[in-house]
Amino acid sequence: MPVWILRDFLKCTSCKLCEIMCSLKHENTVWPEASRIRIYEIFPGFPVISLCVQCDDYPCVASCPFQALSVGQHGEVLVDQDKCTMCGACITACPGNIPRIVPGKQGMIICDLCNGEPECVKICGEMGYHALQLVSKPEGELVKNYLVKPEETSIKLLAKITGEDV
Amino acid sequence: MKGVWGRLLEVDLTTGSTHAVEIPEKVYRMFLGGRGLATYLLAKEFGAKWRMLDPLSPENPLMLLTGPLTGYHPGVKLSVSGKSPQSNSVVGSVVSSEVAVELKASGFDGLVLKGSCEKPCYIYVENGKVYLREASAIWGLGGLKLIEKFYSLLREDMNGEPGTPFVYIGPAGENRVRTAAVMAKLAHAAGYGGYGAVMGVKKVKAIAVKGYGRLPPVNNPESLTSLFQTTLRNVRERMKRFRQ
Repeated sequence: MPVWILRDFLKCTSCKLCEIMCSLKHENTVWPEASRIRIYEIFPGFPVISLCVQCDDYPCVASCPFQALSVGQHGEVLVDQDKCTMCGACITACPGNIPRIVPGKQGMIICDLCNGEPECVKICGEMGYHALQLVSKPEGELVKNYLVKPEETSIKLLAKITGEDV
Repeated sequence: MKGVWGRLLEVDLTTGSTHAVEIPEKVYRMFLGGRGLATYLLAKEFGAKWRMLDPLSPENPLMLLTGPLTGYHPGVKLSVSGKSPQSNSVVGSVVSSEVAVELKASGFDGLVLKGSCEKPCYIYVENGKVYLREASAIWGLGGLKLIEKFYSLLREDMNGEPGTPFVYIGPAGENRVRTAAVMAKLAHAAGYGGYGAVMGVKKVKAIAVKGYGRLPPVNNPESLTSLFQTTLRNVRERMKRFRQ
C-alpha cells in the first residue's frame, strides 16, 4: 500500500533530528549530508523541507538511461547502487531537483521510505512537532506542490508570512 | 577517537596559510566542550604572557570550537572564544549556528584564526579547504541586507550551496566596539565577551562553512537514540510540574 509523508513547513523548527535518524538508519553513522531528508533554512525562521514526494509519473525513473531506478511496493524510488553511474539525469528530470550526489558515497540519494515506516516521521512525532506525518498517498498531481526548490520556496514563504515583496 | 576528530583547523590570515593542529584525547577528557578547549589552548599558547596580550590586537586568536555533543543532538551550539575585549579574560560565548555541525562534517573540531587580513575579506571553508575572498561589497552591512547579499555573493564567488550556514559581524564589530557580538542568522548572537570586535580587528566580515563528510563515529548508537527519548521525557515531566 502506497504511503506518503505529509509535511508542514510552518510546524518545522529546523531541529534536524530527522537528518540524524535518517543517516543513522541508512549509513550507521551520523552524516547529515547523506540523509535522504534535508532541511534548508535560508531565511531564519522559515525552514524548507526537501524530500522526495513520489510523483505519479516518476520522471526520475523514466529518465534513467541505465535502468538503475525502480519503483517499490510502497511507491518509493529504489536505487540500484551497482547500476547507478551518478550521471545526474534524474536530478535534471526531477522538477524540484531532489536527488543528490554526495562525495564519498556510491549511488544517488533518494528517499526510500524506510520500507513503509520512515524514521524521520517517527522521531518528529515523538518529539511532538508533527511536522512530518505518515498518510496514505493522495491521488493526482497534488503531491507535486511539495516538490520544492529551497531558494525559491523560502522567498515565497517569506513573502507570504511577512507580506513583503522580496 | 570516538565523538571528536582530535584536530583543529588553524588559519594564519596574514599569510593565508592553513594547517591542522592535533589535540590529544586526554585534553578532550580534561577540558570539556568548546569553552574548556579554548581555555586550554589560550593557556598553552600565552600562559605567562597573558597580561601582555591586547585583546584588540591581531595576535589575539579568534576560535570557533565545537563540543562532544555537537551534531548528535538538536540544539547545536558553536563556542566563540579568545581573549575578551570586554573583560580581558576568557569567555566562552555560545551562539546557535549550524556552522558547528558543518565544521565537524568537514573533519575538524574547530577553526582558529590568527593574524589579520589587509583588506576586508570573508572566509569560506569547504571540506577543510580554506578560501579567503574579498568582502568589500558587503562591508558595512548588517542584518537582513547582509544575509540576502551574502548568499548571492557566495553563489557567484564560490558556487556555494543555498543555505550554507555562516556567522558574521555587523557595523559594531567592524568599528571595534568592545561589546560587539558575533551574529548568526538574524537573531542568534554570541553576545558575551564582545568577540565581534576581535573579528573586526582581523577584518573578517563573515565565516561560512560547508562540509560534506560524515561526523566522527559514535561510540554507542543505541544510547544516542535513547538520549533523545530521555531528554524528551524529562522535558515533559518538567512541563507537567510547571503547569501545576
